[in-house]
Amino acid sequence: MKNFRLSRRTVLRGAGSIALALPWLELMREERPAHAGGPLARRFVGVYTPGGTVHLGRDGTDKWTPTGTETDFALSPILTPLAPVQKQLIVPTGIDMVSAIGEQQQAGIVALLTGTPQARLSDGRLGYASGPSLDQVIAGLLPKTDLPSLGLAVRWGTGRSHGVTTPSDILSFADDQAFTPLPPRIDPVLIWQELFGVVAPQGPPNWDKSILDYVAGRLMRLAPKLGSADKHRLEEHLSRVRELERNISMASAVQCQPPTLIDTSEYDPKAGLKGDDSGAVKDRVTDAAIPKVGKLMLDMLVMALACNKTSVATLMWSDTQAKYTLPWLQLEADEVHYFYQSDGGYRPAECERIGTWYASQHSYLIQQLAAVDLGTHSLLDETVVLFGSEVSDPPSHRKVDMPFLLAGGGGLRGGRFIKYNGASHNDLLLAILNLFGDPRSSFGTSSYCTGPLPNLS
Amino acid sequence: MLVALVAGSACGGRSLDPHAGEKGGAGDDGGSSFAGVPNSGGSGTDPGGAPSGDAGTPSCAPPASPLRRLSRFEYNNTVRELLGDSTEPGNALPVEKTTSYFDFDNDVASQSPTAEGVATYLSIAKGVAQRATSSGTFASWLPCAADVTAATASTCARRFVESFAPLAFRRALDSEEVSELTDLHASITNSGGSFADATAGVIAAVLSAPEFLYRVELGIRDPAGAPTMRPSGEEMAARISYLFWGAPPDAVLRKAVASGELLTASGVLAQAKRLLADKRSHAVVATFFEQLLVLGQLNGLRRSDSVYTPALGQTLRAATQRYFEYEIFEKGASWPSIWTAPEAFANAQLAPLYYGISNLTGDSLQKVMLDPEQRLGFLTDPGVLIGVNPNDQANPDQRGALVLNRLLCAGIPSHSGPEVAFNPTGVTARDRWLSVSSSSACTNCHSEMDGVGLALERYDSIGRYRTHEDGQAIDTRSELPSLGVVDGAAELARALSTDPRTQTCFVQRWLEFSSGRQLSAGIDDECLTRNVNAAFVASGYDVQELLLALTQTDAFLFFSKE
Repeated sequence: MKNFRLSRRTVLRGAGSIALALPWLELMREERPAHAGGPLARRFVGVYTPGGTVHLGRDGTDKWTPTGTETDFALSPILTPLAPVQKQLIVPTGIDMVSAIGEQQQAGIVALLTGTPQARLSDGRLGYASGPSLDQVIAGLLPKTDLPSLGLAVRWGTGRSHGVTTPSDILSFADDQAFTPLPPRIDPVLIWQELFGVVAPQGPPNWDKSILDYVAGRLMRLAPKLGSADKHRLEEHLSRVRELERNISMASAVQCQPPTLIDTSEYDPKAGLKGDDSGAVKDRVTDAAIPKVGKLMLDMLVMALACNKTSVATLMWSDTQAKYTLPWLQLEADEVHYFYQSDGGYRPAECERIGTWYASQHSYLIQQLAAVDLGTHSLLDETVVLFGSEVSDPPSHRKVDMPFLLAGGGGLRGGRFIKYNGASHNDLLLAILNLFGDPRSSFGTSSYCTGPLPNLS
Repeated sequence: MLVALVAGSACGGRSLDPHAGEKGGAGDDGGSSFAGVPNSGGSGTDPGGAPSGDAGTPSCAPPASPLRRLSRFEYNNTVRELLGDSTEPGNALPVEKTTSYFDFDNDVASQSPTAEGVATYLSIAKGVAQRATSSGTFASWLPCAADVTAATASTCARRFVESFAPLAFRRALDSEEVSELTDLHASITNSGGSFADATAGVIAAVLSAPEFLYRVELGIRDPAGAPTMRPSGEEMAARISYLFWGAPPDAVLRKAVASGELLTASGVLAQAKRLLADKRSHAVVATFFEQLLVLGQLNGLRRSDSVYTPALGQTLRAATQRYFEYEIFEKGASWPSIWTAPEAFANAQLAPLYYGISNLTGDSLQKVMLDPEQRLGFLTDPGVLIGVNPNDQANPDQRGALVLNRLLCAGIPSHSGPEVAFNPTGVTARDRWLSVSSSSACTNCHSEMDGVGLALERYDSIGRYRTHEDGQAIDTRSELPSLGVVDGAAELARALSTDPRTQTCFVQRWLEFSSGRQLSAGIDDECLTRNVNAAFVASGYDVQELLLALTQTDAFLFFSKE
């Protein structure tokens, strides 16, 4: 009698109303779809490079887009350095960044991870994003780490940015009401000290294991004494504890090895503060150190993930002003910006060399992620790496057929060249978010989002 | 008064209190029904409290007792009481979610453990443990740790476990449970840890255990009702203390456990009165209103009007909270009179902006009298008016939905119809929203929602009083399906203050908040609501009496085994 009454109540509670269905959605949210292809997405890395790419080279050929079919394709000249990681790479072409509305390049970087137009400030000027950036939303979904997210930048705040936070140089926006712009960390020495300089004030991991063993034991003894719903909750709790035990033993593995802090004293992370609007003031010594500082930044980024300091990281190779020189590519006379502009005499050959260099850095990043062995899989296997820029075509600032790259695991099926025909970049961001178990059906400005970009996983 | 109130609310009559069966005069059920569901009357029992168990037709069965997880607020209070840790480490936990059907953040149905949550439990427990065992504090609460040696270590560890763990689990431990923890302590010292490390490890383990994180109620058989359980004395002590203080039982409650007085309704009531009279209860009541009126949204709210700053939002939030504290605990006000009280709280910043008072000085909040032409009660409180509009406008439908859904329990669904654009060329909100409320697909919900909101249109997006919008006079006259014609906020507040829906809904909201579960549309919860409402009516809608009545229901004194 009693049991019948209770089950009737349970039925009533769940039936007949759309609103009442919600708790089940909440539950299902916990159950992330398992991919046959490997571990779930647990880390996100975003990489920004300035100035788009070269779709139309001087010789009339496309320097970015691969040739061939989806699974059998030849990398383009710019993407050639990525050959060692081609199997982990997705080159999605034909994606348009329609949400980038505002000032030409500012709107591009603002939209890149947010999928929203530049907001208007109260004085009428163009401001920052109208929504949170993907990295920040993902950070909110993942287990807490020392740093919720890690934003890094090399040679940041050039030209009109004058080394401070402006809409020209911000990639990440907080998931708060104000979508607060989050400036990146720029000083390699301070970053190293923050990440690796202090020994974590916690006991050896075997104590954590004893603690978690105890907790698991309590959960197992309590669960059978409870009703079925509570029992289920404690079983879920137990499986989270087991996951945590695995993560802790992973983090203590030999793979967490802080990179050597090399001497970067000639590099001035605050060179942007001394810059001028046009880029006439140059700091060629700092510029010459970009390759070695960039490599250190990449190494620190990878180890920050490997050591579980954070699960979400971004790297900006400069800002949208891009007023620096590239002496190591024998391009020391003029700042990068110059090559992009039609009024400065757009120079596609130089842009191609620059793009190819950034591709080689990206290839290094992906290989380093793949080299971290987490036991059952590599760090890359549980990471989604997104590469992008604020425009597609340098001289016109057009934002159609954007130069995006995806790499990693977490459900992505790599080794493919996928031709989308005018898909919205919001759909790409949404598809990535869905890989992290967030079930929402729209990301960024909803009118630009039609649903998750298909065929990635 | 209270005796009658208590008897009137004891629904199944299975009270263990020998006095509770004496029927009081509070049998009036207030003439209202639960959440739009008609009184079923099917059970045929007297809601006034005749012992129905004897009649063989149980009518007002208590609900089950699902595990309730400590909220962040409760976690903070609990580690402060246990170990003097006032760093509020629980704030690092994932923010509790509210849902479209439950206004409070403690809904057990949405508390499934997440990876982030469980990882954070461990990390904050370790933080608490480290602070408690740091060299400055350790010996102050565990004197035997001061000069501990290899010879005294195990005695000292046992002493620590035996005093700490029962407080953390809110119950006595059996000897096996004690050994488990002393073994853990020993295993850490055996692997090179110091006595302090090992103690920290045990603290972290206890604070991560389900018995600490959840309020476990296994219950004891109720001899009077075979399928019914009642919370043990220890479990009841936790029920009372988390209800009124959001904190673990204090020494007096623990003594009451030992004396067995928490096994009677009158014993429970005596403790409830004591806790309610203590200032610690104010924070719980503040949490209720904070969530009911979505005041939390004032945090980080943005307005294009530069007068509005985050700091102003914080002050408004504090002023709204101070209002309810004053009305309930200092004036001892009834719920209808809180709707129409002639005062508010302001400081030197708020007074000129909202209340036309220019001679108030200082940052601290002081009572100010309202201009009755402009404001009345909490419905015109700027914090309430602003918090409900997360976007940059004074949207009448959102203000209307706050009143109808949260304060009247009207159950208007979250947006379900087509998107109909409001008319952007309208000068006043009434013109802009006419296209919505008159559209056939929308009128069902929007005519009443917008009607209520338009009566509140004399308050702009930051809650200032105004008579005109862009030069055009604001018409605040609304004809509402359920209330007839009201003109402006004061008339609306007066009409709602005496509306029976207002009182029943307040009861329902307190039942939800206090039990952390959605009331079901079945006869048992209907019965529960009806009886607490009857007590509320009988008390003259006294808010404090309502909170005490929550502890005298079968749902509080008993639970059913799943």
